[in-house]
Amino acid sequence: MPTAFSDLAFTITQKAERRLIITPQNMPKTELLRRAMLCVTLSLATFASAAHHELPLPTNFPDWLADIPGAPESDDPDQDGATSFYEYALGAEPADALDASKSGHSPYLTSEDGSALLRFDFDGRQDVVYIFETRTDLAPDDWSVLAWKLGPTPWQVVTDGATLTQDGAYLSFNYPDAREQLYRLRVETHDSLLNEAQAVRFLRQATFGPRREDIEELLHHGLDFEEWVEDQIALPATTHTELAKTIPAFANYPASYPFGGANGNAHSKGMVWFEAAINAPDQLRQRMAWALFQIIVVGESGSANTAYLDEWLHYYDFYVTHATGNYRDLLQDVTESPKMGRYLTYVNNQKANNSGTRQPDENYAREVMQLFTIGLWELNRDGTLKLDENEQPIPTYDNTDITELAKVFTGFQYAADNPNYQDTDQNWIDPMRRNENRHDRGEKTLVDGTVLPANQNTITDVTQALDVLFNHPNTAPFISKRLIQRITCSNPSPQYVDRVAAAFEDDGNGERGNLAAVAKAILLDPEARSGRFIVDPTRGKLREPLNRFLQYCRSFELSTTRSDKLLYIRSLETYFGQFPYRSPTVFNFYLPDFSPSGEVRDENLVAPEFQILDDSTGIRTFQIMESLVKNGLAWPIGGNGHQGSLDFSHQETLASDATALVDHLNLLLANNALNETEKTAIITAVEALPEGDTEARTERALTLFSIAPGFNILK
Amino acid sequence: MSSSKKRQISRRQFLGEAPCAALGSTALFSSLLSLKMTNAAAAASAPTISTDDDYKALVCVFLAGGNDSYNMLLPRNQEAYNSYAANRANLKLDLYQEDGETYNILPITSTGQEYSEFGLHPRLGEMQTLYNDEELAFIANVGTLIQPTTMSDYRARRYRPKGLFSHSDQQDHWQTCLPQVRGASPGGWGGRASELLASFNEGSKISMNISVSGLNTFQTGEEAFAFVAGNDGGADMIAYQDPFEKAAVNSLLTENYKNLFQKNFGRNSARFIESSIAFNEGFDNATVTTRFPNTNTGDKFKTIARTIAAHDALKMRRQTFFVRIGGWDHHADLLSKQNTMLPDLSQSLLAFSNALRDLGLSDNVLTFSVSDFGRTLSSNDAGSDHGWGGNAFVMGGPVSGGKIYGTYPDLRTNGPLDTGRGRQIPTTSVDEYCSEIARWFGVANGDLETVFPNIQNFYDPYSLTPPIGFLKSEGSV
Repeated sequence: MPTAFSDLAFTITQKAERRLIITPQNMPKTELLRRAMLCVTLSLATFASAAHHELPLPTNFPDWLADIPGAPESDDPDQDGATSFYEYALGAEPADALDASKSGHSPYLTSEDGSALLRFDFDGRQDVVYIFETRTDLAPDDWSVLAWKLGPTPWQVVTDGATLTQDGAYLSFNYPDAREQLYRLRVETHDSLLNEAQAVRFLRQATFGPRREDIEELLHHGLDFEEWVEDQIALPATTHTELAKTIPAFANYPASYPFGGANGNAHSKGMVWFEAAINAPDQLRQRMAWALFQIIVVGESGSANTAYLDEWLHYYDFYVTHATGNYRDLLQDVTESPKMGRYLTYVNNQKANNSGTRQPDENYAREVMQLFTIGLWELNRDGTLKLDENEQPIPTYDNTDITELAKVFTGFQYAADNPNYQDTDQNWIDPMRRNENRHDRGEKTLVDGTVLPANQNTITDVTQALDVLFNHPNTAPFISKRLIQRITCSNPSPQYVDRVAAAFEDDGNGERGNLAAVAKAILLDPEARSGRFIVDPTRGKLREPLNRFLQYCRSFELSTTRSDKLLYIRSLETYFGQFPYRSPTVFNFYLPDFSPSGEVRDENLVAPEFQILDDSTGIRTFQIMESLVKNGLAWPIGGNGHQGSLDFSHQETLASDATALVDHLNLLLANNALNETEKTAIITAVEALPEGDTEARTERALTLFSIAPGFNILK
Repeated sequence: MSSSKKRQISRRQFLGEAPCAALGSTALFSSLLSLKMTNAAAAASAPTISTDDDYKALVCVFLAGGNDSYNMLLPRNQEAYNSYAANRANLKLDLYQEDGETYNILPITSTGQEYSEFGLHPRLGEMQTLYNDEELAFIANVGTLIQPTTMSDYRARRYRPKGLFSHSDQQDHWQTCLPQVRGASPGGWGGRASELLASFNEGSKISMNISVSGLNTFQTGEEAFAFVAGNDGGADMIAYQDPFEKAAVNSLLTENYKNLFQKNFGRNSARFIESSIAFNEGFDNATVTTRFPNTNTGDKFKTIARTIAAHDALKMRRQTFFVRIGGWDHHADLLSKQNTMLPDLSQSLLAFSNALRDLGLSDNVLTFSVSDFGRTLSSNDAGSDHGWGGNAFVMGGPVSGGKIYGTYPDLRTNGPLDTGRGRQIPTTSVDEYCSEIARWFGVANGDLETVFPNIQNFYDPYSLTPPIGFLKSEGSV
């Protein structure tokens, strides 16, 4: 945690006289300004620990330091009380004492008409995070972040308790309450986490969980995240269809199945999904596929043939193959798929009859707009709502647009039966065939005014309509924001959404909808990579229960103990509130704008995954994690039928030293997010067990980590 | 982070600013609530006399997806039936069986409508019995409204609920009773009511709001939340069995985290553990011997009955329940799916009614249905699409049953309320429907506006007569 210099802070009171009061009293104004400058403090702890581990310092700062003649032996060669780092951060000179009166680049604080005013007219260094903080009393280490910025980017306001206005170099904070406030400007190295923890953090976002060798490889490549992403994109797709064939249980796939008779059972496809999530090398693609599958949802409930493996794997592979391909291709494939056709009920949909007593089914027309492309409200590219002249949000479509688009999705029927598919009586794999006699051949006016001329055939109408939706200005921010929420954080700033949406609009080569470019933009964004998350309490997300479970499975290399080599994971939806293929409706397990009671809602933030965190799932997820740690994979749940094991051998070598074990797990599982209190809580419980009982010690530590907020929240 | 600085605004401003409130309506709403709580002396709804028999429970039955309720309750009057049948085409239920004499739909009658002959879906025999026993009533063509809305209002796009015809929005609006605000952020009327009535449950360690179907908007208030029970009660925290692990868990969950998500997760999890333990202390000893259907729906109603049986042990004199039954979005297979789903509902309701009778609490529990919307009357060949107004039911001893309330609409094609394809403009608002329930539950007239911010558009909250009149007791004053 950053060191707070309480004696360098200022007290501003907005009581009767509304003027700046200095502590200690009667301080001359020059001294006041000097102290304001020294409010700028380096996060000493972080900095010192980085030096201790001989990790690379920020790329720019060392160069800057090296350029100074007679590189300073101490941190503060000019002995002005400011270390070289914050002199650097402020654009000052290390050998030249800070002097507010001397140049425009030194920050100072004043108060004016009940506002706190920070003047800081230095643009900012690329590798420095600037954090403006306040606290209300002299209790140490209780600073709240008001705003922060990375290098020369604009300030981003964190709190809604104050209003912030920026006018050139001046930041003005207005507090409605008359009370004492202390302020400081703190600086941190942007790359202060440039170490193993940063690798772990990245891998927790980009994969279903880091393995130790993944971390080492990333470090070996100098934490070159861009290269990692490109390597992942270059990997061949692990399709679930092909993967299933490598599992002995499905050796004769699709001719025969290991259980439930020749048709397999409803759990087979989920077990293939877990095999991919845990063991596929193209982790980023699998992660993206799962995120996309939560946007364009098809679930068992409302579908046919839940036990037929081939058609489900074929369908899910649309998401796998297009996860680093193009969103437009995904839209086309799912739209033509009989699985979607059945799920959203437009297979066999036909034009209105002459009497008008039969009208086209509106289901797909509505959901493809509301959920898969443009959403209900017009958006700016940064994902914020557009407002009309009366400050009202603007609907993207009305019901006439629905009934018009419904006409487009008429004419689809099941393709001819195929005796090689599991279901020989109904084709659930090949694109739906088009019966032009049932297609509405009339003119259709789409949401943006585009008119599809009369007498077009089904596929032309469908393709052109999907083009219109795909190219609608809403689609880039709408889809981008949902993907960000699934992967890095629940409340991306508008700027973050805008950057990702820009990548959706144009991947740099003029291609729209390139999901590889979108994934890259999400993961490489300063907002995902910068160490600033430490200081911003509004950032992060609750990880999906599946992802928490999967991180243990991956980090401790779950292996099956079954002869058929299945990862026997099933029926956990009542524990997790989610499970592959088990979304209750097309609206997914949670809504993207869900906000739980408490501080998240009070701050007008969202936390979608909290919608499935309740008394039942919350505790039951802990139960599953504990069971996984202590019993490995077991079926029935809570029973003794052993199905698979985790490998804790490395952890057990550390376990006689509880601190070493906890430090190791803190890094591996939580990119060092657990603070000293959390670590101490776990260490104390571990130390209550005999030093030599490394197995029990490891299991206890892992059980408690699975409960720790630092593990469950990804910051 | 200052959540305490909430702007105080008037109700008029609140409603006027609804579009902006979409972004921050919680804070706005909370100020509204605290304002109201202060004005109402925070005690108008609170109990003045403590009596053991003053126990009341609400059961919200959420038919998620949008039940096609014009095939649940339909006209039997020949002329009205003909309009219905012509409009529904291949979705119609036959009036008579093949003999042309015996009714196919289950006959019921009602006063107060244009005609008296109505029918229920043929698979709703138990609900027919309950109706004839005057334990069940219907409210016709009820739906989300901001204020009374005419066809010309609709055509001029006046007073339309935000996101009309969409599942997520209409589900929220049935629960928030704020259709001018997008999303769930204002919280639900059950949550708000529970906050006003909190003192009824003094000494209870669990939330007044109990869900057997996960979190929901109805039971979420400014501070209120649902306790989520499984069919076996609260979940057990295994790590609590060891004192060292228990100490560590408590420390991990109650640390004062700066990060809001960590803080929320920790506090929520600690609450889950505490609530589950407290819940099981009452639930484990409660028994219900009444037979329930061996289905998911039956199981959930049985869990509710058992929790009702435990209300004394749980020190609860007010309980709200939420049960979600999904799968009603019948764009396809409407007839076949209602044929299997409606009897499950009907049998579960009867079993629940029987269980309450066995517990001697029939007069203390009010069950009411909610669904996203009614559906189009016109067919898409296999099913119906999203509509607006629909028919709801209320059940229990408090109900003045055997009657259809509200105004059953004229179902003919392009009828007076038809906004297209038989999507009916509601003639009774969710506010009227639910405020009558809230009055019975104990929300004082002076608090109705807090719970239903639009109520004055439909009903004078200080009126001595109830909004609709489907309950025996006239409720609070």
